[in-house]
Amino acid sequence: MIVAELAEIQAMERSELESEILEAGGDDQLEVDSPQAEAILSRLEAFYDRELPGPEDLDPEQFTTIRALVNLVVSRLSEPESARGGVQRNGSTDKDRAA
Amino acid sequence: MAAIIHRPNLSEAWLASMEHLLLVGGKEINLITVIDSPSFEVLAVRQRLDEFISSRRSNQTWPVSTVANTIFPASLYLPRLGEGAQDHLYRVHKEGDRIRRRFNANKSGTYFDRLTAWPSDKGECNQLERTIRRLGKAANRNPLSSAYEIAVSTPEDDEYQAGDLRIYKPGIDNRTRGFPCLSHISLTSVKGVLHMTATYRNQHFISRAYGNYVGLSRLLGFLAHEAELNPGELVCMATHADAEIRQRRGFGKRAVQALVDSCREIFSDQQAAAVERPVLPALQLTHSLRTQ
Repeated sequence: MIVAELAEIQAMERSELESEILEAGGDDQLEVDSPQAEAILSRLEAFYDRELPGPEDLDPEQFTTIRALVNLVVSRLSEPESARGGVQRNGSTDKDRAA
Repeated sequence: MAAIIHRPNLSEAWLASMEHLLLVGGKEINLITVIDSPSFEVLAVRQRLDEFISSRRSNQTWPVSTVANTIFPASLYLPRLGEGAQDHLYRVHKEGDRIRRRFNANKSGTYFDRLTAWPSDKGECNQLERTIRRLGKAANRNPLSSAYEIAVSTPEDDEYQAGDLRIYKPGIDNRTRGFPCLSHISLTSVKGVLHMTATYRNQHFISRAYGNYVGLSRLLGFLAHEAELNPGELVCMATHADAEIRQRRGFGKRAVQALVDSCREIFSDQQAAAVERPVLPALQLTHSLRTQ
């Protein structure tokens, strides 16, 4: 889901972005800057209907990458509160959707 | 008292301003920094500054890119979208609002928020959209027109003219410190070239100024591109400039001096100093084509 949202934010096809990710060396290498991350997290919040952490919750020296964002979202969704609502409106689980 | 620093690119201008501030004891009244080609920077200087900031990180310091994004979120501007580029920028930026505003430093919004959603009695006003429209019209009507700024109007007024972007909002911005330090941006279009002057009531030269220059330069590039003009010079006037050399609320004089000296060394290494990069890469090709 994060890849799909980032592709939309960058106005490119998902396959195009996936090629860029491969070229960069993986989803832990391709940098996502704060304005992009804020928009992605905002969309995910609307989808999951719950508050997620913001980019400032990432280690400041760490590049904000797709992987870092996935970990950030998954860790929040894995907290006890999410266990009560782990299955979303469309039936998919949190982890499935975040990646 | 007032001093003028004039340099060819963003990095040299920041460094020369820092050197001046250190010479006069760390603070200056009315420090005017003129940057001929703000679209370019020497990357090694930014890297050195970022390293310095990250090694002394506090709640009030961020990398250059973070500071720049508060003025212009460059990654959301996609010139290849043509006429749709502005809408895309405003829409995606707005989407991030609820995440961004949770961050303490952004509680009052960012500079870009003020530029795109100026709070007025008539609702929010997108100053950038209006400015681009008027700049474009003025350029078509009279390509030689220069400053067309009126100081008494506010963005929500019908007679408001392009050339005057407001940040400071009387009645809302009552704090004596903090946001907004940038109070006003003035634009001047002469012979197809758009120039920018930004006024800061207080500018911190380690934790903010370089990022301010990058953000303003990107904003200038964006405005020029959308109004079909070429970007010109950037002038930053800090009515109070601070090199942040104090030990308790700054970085310490010795550390700041060492940073400045190490940045100066970059310019003695011709190879390193020659590596310049555009601060808004997406526009590089467009600008070079326009000048042909």
